[in-house]
Amino acid sequence: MVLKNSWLFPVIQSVHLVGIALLVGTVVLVDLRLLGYVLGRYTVSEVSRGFARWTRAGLAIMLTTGPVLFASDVTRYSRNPAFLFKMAVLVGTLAFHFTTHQRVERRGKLVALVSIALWTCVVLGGRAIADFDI
Amino acid sequence: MSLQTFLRESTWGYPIISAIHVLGIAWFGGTVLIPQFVPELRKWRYIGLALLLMTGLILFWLHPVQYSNSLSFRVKMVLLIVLTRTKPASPASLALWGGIIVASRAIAFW
Repeated sequence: MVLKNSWLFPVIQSVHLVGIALLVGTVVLVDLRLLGYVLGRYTVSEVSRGFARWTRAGLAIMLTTGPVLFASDVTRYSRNPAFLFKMAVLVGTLAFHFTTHQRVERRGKLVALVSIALWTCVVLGGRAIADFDI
Repeated sequence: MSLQTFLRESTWGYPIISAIHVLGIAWFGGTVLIPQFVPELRKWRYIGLALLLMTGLILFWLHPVQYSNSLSFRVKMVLLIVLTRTKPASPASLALWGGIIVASRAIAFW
């Protein structure tokens, strides 16, 4: 596809980045609340409910723009080690998010720390794609 | 070997610092979404901004010539200066953030 050389590419990447800010930004704040560092005036449920629709919006943006960026250069991404790392960690992270992380009764400090670590690895893998082209 | 050369030539130096830069955007973004939470998260917003500023300076320091010559990078710097004149978390400042992100992503092209 010609998208990879077009001005649309950085624009879609930017939307992808705004998606990160919504998704990872809100998940990490809920995790920091679980750890007891932020928004102490509100309960964990209040914080998590407050952010829920932004987290969903961020996820929807990521899962739309991500495949578009991938489709722009399938050959490049499929053999890029950083991309493959990101996809592997992402599958695990999403599974963790929708099972353990979303069940209030299972939430604890360890869940919060694992969540922060996993999302950090997803961002690191994504950002490293440009540095690991073969 | 200087720290600059080490970071520039190491496999993980640049990706890790730029990943922290992206996490700074996420961090800042999370703190401005909910008006009710904005005042209480001020300290955390500043931490996000500090992360962005520090990692941004390091990234520039690693490739100063490449960045100075980029039109998109210059546009980004102008938008950043305008941003400092706006009210935090206001619609104008969020629009400028959008512009700054587009200009940043465009550095690889122009």
